Amino acid sequence: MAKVDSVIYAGETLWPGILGHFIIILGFVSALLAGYALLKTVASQNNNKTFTAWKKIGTISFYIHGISVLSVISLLLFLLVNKYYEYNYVFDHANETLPIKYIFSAFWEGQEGSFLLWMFWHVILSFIMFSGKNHFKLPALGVMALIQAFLMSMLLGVYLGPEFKLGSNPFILVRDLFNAPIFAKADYLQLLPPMAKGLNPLLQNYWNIIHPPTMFLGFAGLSVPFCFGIAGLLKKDHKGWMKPAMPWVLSCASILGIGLLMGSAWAYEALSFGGYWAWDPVENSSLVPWLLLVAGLHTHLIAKNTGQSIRSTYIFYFLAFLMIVYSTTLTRSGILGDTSVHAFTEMGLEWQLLAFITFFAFLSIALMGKNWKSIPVTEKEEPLQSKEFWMFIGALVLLFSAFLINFTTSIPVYNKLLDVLGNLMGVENMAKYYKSTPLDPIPHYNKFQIWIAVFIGLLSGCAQFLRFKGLNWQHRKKVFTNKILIHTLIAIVFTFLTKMWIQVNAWQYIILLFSGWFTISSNLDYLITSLKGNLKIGASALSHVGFGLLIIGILASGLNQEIITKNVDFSDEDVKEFANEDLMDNVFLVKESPYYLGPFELTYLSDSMDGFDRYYHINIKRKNQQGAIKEEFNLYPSTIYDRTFKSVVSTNPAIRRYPHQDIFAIIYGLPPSHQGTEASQQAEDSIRYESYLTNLSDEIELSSVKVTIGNIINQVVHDEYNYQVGDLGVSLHAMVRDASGRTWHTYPSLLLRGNLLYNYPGHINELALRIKIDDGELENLFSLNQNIKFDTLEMQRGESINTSAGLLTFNDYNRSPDGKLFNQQEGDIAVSTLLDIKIDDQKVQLEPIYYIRDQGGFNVQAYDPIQHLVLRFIKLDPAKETITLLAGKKVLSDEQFKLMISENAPRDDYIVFQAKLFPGINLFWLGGIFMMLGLGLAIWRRIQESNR
Amino acid sequence: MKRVHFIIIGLITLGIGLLISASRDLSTYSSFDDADKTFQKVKIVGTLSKDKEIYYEPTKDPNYFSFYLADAKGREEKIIYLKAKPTDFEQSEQIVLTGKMKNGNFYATDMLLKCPSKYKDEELKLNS
Repeated sequence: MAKVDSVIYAGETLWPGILGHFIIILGFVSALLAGYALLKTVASQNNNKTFTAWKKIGTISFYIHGISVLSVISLLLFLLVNKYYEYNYVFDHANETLPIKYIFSAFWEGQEGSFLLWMFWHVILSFIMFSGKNHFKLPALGVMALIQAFLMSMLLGVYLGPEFKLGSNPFILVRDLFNAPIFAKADYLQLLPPMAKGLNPLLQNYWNIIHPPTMFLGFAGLSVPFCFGIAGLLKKDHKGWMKPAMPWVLSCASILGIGLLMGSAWAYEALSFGGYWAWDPVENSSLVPWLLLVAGLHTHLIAKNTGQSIRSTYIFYFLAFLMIVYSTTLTRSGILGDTSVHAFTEMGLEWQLLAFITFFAFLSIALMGKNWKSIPVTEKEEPLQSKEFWMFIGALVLLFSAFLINFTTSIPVYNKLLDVLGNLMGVENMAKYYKSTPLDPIPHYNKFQIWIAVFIGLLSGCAQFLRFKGLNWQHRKKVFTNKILIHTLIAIVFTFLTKMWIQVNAWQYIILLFSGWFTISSNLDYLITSLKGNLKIGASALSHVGFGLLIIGILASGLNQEIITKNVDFSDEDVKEFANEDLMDNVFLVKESPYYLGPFELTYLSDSMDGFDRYYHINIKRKNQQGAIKEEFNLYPSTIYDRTFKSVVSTNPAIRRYPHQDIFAIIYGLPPSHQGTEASQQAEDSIRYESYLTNLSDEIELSSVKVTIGNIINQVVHDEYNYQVGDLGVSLHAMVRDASGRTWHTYPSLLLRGNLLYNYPGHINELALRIKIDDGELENLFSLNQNIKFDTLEMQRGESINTSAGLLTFNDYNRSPDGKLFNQQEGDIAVSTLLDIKIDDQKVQLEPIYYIRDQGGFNVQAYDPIQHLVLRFIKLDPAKETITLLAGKKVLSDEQFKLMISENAPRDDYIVFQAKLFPGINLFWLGGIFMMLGLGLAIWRRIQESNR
Repeated sequence: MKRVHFIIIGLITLGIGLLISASRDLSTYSSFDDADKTFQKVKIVGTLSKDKEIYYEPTKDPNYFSFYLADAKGREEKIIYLKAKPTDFEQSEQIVLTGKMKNGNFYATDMLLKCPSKYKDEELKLNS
């Protein structure tokens, strides 16, 4: 289709896009210039004049770049806030219903936005680096500028040929991206808003407001030690850069660590992953750089105290940065699509990302190679009894861990490389050589990482009692041996005690448990005795205690995760063998009927809507062995609808927390009527109805029950209905009676909202009975009331008025009318009037109801079947103490209306429910928090030192 | 050679050993034909047969979900997944299953759905 060039579009706001694209290019060019100039300062450091010149050029360019980045972000936010849907980024990530608090989430939902977030933090960190007083900052910022240039290039959106696009411009217009007939219209813009996609409801969660910026701050932080390292190599000063880099490393390790914990918490409490860590490739790819950074931190400390391990410190920091770029490449190139739940799909940036990582990998390798010989190493061997030796081993073990995780995470990369190889060799299809990720990924990772954790636990437990360079070993030898012995004993005792609490049977896990307690015990000892409780210098001890707690928490919650709702039919030979798999974990809960599971009694009581969420009220009772109730509580797991209520997009667990365990409840299945309009309609279409013509108060005889329509209510009173201003509706009060006299009430309703007619059937699950008003009856039912000629009457209590139907007397108010008459809901305020009407000595009592629901006033008419008198109570005036009534006589001939009744309707009052126990999960969080506190303490200590 | 070099060499050796052991966990994608021949679990990639029955009746059993999947070779088999049916199941473009054949049915123990992403460019379908 040819583009229609002649159309002049109405209402577009084009200047932000043009400006934005210009600033992106400016930001890119200024970053390149800043990089070049700031790196030039190294070569010219002996010539004061050129040095000053380059410094000035570099600094100014960097500031221009920084301001560019901030401006691009502001512009894009401006477009998002004001909903300029002509821009594809806005069209893709915002819509009319997006709450303002999620504007930032919408901003970083897309690739371009998340690159900008990354760059934003780089800019902020760089501005802080500029204020530093060390002479490494200029070349370090030069390297940072180059990183920024690469990142900015991802947004360029410039064509370098017909097929090759450099970057993806966030300011691209929808009509430039798509070729659709709609763009032949000059006013297409007015048609866009309802089509805008908006933020994925899964991501409309408060975690998504804080988790991504924390992660990206951590990612950006990884660049700083990298930049300082490169600066050190360029200046050939291999020790000098380490001091200014240290606070950055500590801050980054703690922020990235907090980010990882937040991700775990999000996964645990809001996403339906069923746990806090799943070894998902995207999770792994943020963990690996963190492990490498922490390894680097340890060799860095060695270097600081002994002058050794400088080479490895360089290598670890370089690897940490390169791994974050590698991770970015993996998650953003679509290569992980098969193996990860939260990867982006491809956007054509693969080659650029590859160039990004290749450039910095070569830069690091080349500079390391060139300087290898000049990096100082001490010829003397570090003694076995020295702290640095064991710290170094620890760092190697972390490297090892990172390496193994990456090996498995990179499987899709091997497949991709196979394709490239196939291409070179001319083989068409390499798919038959593809490897897939392990069948059971979690045990796969666990079985290797467990030994890493054991080593770290033991090493960190022992190394605390050693001194750098093995100082004074002769003297300390005895103390050391004693300490190790004592803590081994303590750890054995605690391992034994823990085994009484949780089941740990495999010997590998027992060893891990021991190593966890060992490091807790010895590090606590170090903290308390050696430092006399001086927390300020106990940062490492605190972090290692945290590590030990984390390990025990993982063991407890991972191994002893107990599915309360395990539901295996052991008489079924086919499924028996799968009893130990993560299958058959759900139970079927019918509304209001308790389900008994061991000590638990689960009851699904009700559900309620709140915005786009539907909360299910689950009552849980836990009993002791005698059957007495030990505790009772309620959980409210929820499901989330998309913005049009078409389908359910996500399910949120609810968690009951105890100090020693969590009870975790989640919904895995819903009746069609709760699955959104689409499934609901489908299910409705498959129900077979019979039609019946009936009158008010007439009895319909079904196979086992009798149905009477007691009343017409001028309002929708159905459970599923939410009031909106302007709604027009009508409900029938249907009473169902069986032979034994049991009665049920249900309220089939019709709603006219705008031009759309909604049908709300009444449903009695116990009888499999479903009653709905035929769609065609709307007019009829309205006119049933409209055809009546109403007289308006204003009455006081005790007053009588003569009407055409007889003498009407207002006897009294009733402040608690029968809720069944109008499907009473929580929060309703209702009052009825007790009236009677007398004609020829016949007296009939009538009770019209007035009620307020959701700030709207409604009434339920009263009907006298003898005189066919209809009374409606429409107003209550508290000041005058009067009521206003409408009274009229029904015209009999119009009265019949059509009902559709099914006596074989499927249930719609159930949920498929799962509940689990996570014992010791709090140890995991506590451990994580301790590790971070330790790092925080170390930062604080360094700030204090530098102020002195 | 310093002691640390020996340790590094030792660790590298151990690493290679672990990697070999780790790579045994990696599997190749199989077909139903392969699954017939083994009692072990296999991993199969395929597409949902949309014309065949997709059965999930929680009122009868909340942990029984069955459907038909065509593997890469086009062979169709009935899949039994002893869990609740995932909400976005029908939209899936590709399904990765882990499991094994039993009595002519494929019992899946794990299922990964690949759904069309919202980032994917799609034509604006509007009859304007």
